[in-house]
Amino acid sequence: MGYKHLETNLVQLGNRSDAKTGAINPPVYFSTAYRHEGIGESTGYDYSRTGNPTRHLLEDGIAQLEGGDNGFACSSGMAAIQTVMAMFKEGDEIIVCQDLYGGTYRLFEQGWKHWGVSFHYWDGENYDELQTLVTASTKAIFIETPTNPLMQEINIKQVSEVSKRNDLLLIVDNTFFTPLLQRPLEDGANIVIHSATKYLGGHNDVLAGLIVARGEELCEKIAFFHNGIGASLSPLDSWLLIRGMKTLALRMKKHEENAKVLEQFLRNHSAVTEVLYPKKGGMLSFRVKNEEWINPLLKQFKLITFAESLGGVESLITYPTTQTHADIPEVLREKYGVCKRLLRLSVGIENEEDLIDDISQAFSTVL
Amino acid sequence: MTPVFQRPLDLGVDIVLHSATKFLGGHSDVVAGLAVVKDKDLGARLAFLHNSFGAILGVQDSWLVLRGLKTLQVRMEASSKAAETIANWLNERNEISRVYYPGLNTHPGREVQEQQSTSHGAVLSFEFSKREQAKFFVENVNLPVFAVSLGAVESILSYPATMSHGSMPKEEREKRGISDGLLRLSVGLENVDDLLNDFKHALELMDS
Repeated sequence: MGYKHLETNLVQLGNRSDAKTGAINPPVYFSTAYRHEGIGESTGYDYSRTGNPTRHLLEDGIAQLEGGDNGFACSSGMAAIQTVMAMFKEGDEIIVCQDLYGGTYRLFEQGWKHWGVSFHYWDGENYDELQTLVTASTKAIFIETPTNPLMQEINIKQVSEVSKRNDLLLIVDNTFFTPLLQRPLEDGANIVIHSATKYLGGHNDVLAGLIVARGEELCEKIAFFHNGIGASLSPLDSWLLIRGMKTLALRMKKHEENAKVLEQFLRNHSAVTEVLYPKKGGMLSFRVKNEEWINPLLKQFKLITFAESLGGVESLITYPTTQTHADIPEVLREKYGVCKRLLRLSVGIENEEDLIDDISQAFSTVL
Repeated sequence: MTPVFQRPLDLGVDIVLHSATKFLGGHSDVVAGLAVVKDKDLGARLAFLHNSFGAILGVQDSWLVLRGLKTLQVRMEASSKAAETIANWLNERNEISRVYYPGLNTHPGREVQEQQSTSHGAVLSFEFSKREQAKFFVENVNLPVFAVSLGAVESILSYPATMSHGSMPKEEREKRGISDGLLRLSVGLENVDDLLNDFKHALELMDS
């Protein structure tokens, strides 16, 4: 399987998988257990936590889209990160980009730090400094790019030079760009992680996480913990995610078009001091002039919804200070730029004029 | 046992865990786990980890478990009643060297079981002296599905040595009494006579 263009592969996910009926849309296999013909015999499926035919379609699909060897579907993005983290042990050190999702920071600082893993934060800009953070105990580099919520773009190839030179695993959270815009494994990463709840699912109706890795030994290790921990994605959620992924290319195109229009609009607006947009994708952040405006603005939006997620067809606006990044200490947040004037916008696929009108009317009430 | 038959928190336990894939769901159609505590601080700690790890149950799966729970009481009563009958029946058969079921008079744990539970449960294990006999039995019964897992409306026959305990080293397994001749039966909701006739047929074939 595999066509030259990603959008073809996305649309075809699950088709031609059921020879018996010819079903275009793949069946959902709910069965938790699978009958064995006899002792030591198996159809390849034994227990749904270990392997499920519906989930396999998704796992093979994302592995192919990312250019990896194996995919693993988990019950959430955080479950995907937790499954990968299970490979590390007491004494290990991990270098992490400073700007990252608050939930990841929380799992590292309030979870894994207590279990003996230490984390060193890198500014995501100074590649010489990255090498200086490596010690004999460093095992991995974990980055998001673009970062959440400051949209900092980290050069995966340059980071992978450091990871390869020092024999470290490079783990990239590819949630914001998806394989359509960025394929980290081809740039030297070892593991890609997704909160598939976001763009891949795209409809704000399913929580899911995905892991893709390259290399047989690494894939076996992840498979062991994927099954051992059991945070695997259910068949119905796997099916919902496949359903969402079929339109990813169309959605992403419109997300990006809209985001570019809104970027220009916000840049030229007197209420806005900075717009952070990586020139690709559907996510942007901006700082308003006055911190006092934040709450009235959030209450004023009629079309854009004030909520804590991203990547869906509906536009969502998020206040990182109290929502996604609340678990990062305030002093630290302020220091690297997640200030109290910052808003993050996940641009949906509504008509761009309606979006602009909504932002205009909201700003007009505070100016 | 499920809370229908046994409530560990009332007996001084701090945390109760379930593979809700089993009896609570009960229909071989959903993989789920549950943890229950009654201490507020312990609950807050678990809630933090539950959210941070993100290994949460999907909404459709939550609904499927809820759907299963509605018939839990009647399922547990029927399955454990049938299990009791089957355990006693197997215990009388010469082909079988040992039956493990808390409801048997010979079961060493019976007294403890009866103090803390209101039933002997719906799962039992039984042992043939040779691996070949277990294999023959598995190949010649028709009704119970030979698979991993347990606690379903369908009776499930498992071979612990290669299935549920396959990841345990052989020595360790045998030390615990999980021999190569041991089979585990999770009794479902089929008519008990149909199950017994099926077993009888397989055992008689073995004898001949």
